[in-house]
Amino acid sequence: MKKICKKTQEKWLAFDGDIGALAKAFPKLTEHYRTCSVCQRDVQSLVALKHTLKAQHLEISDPKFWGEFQSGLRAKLAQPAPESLWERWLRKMRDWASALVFQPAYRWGVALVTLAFISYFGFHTLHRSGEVAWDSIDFFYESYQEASSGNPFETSLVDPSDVLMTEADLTGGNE
Amino acid sequence: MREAVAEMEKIDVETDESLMARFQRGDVRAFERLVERYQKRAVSVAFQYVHNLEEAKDLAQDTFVKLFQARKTFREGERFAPWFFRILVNHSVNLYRRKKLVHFFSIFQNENDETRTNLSETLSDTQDAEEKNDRRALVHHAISRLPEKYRSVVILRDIEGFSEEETGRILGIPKGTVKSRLFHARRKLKRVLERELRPI
Repeated sequence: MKKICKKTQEKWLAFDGDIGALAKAFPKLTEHYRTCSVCQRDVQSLVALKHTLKAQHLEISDPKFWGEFQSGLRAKLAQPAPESLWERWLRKMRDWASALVFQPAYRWGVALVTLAFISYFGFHTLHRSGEVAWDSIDFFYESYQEASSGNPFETSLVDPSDVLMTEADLTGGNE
Repeated sequence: MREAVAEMEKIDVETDESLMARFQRGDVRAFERLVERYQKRAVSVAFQYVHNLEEAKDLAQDTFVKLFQARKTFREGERFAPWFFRILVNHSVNLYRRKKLVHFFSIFQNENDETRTNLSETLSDTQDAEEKNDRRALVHHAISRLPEKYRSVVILRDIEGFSEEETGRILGIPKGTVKSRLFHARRKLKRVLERELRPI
């Protein structure tokens, strides 16, 4: 294809087939178009394409179809509006919560879970507090014994024999 | 009687925007009037995307339902037609994509057969109509092979006859972009149809 043919066809398309506007803007190309059979054929096929596309438009004149269309639309409008994702989630949560409170099975389930929870943690709490109590009793008992024995070295880590001077130390060990 | 005719004329010359304003104020008759005005074009536009009459009908109805529900979002001074068709086109494109995905995963689906049956039921059963339907299916197939941005422009401008400005408003693109997309779309379509339809 010649360069001028390509340009003419492109411009024709760009001007949407308005030959008057094309002639005004590109007189040289229009002149070429009037004499070139290749360009004329191309333009003809584009015109045919436009007609083919226009014929794709759907025209339904059957009144029964439109009657059904409107009754279907009325039925759709009568339905409640579809929920958004957030609304659906909220509703589910609400339903779940109300089921939890009002349905006997859920109620019993919740009661059992709560009981199990209380028993488990309650037992551990009591047990731990028992341990603490016994530990503290032992601690106070030991403290009392140490205090009442009157021996200051009893709890000391230092061996008394290392600290106290013996008779041999005093005499110089010469005896 | 004369008063009734005058009332009818008054309703008929009422613009879409004033009908919409009345509908926003709670006048359901204004909504019915809008449905009557736009139902044919809406079904035709939707049909160009899905090429199935039942689905096109559903899409158009859903768009009117959406219009009913979202009436408060229509702002004063806005043009009604682009707003309405934008909803319809978005809805149709979404369904088209979903259909394409389903079609991709379903090797047994034969879309052309389905389309032919649907159209034959609504249009006449004569041989001429059959040929017309075949041709329609072929052109539709060629259009469906276009990239999405070109397909919408061809459907709105060349098939449905919207102006370039209206097409731009519906698709949310400038007029210049509509022109350039049209140019490329027509070139591609011409090439495809020249191969499949002789003479086009």
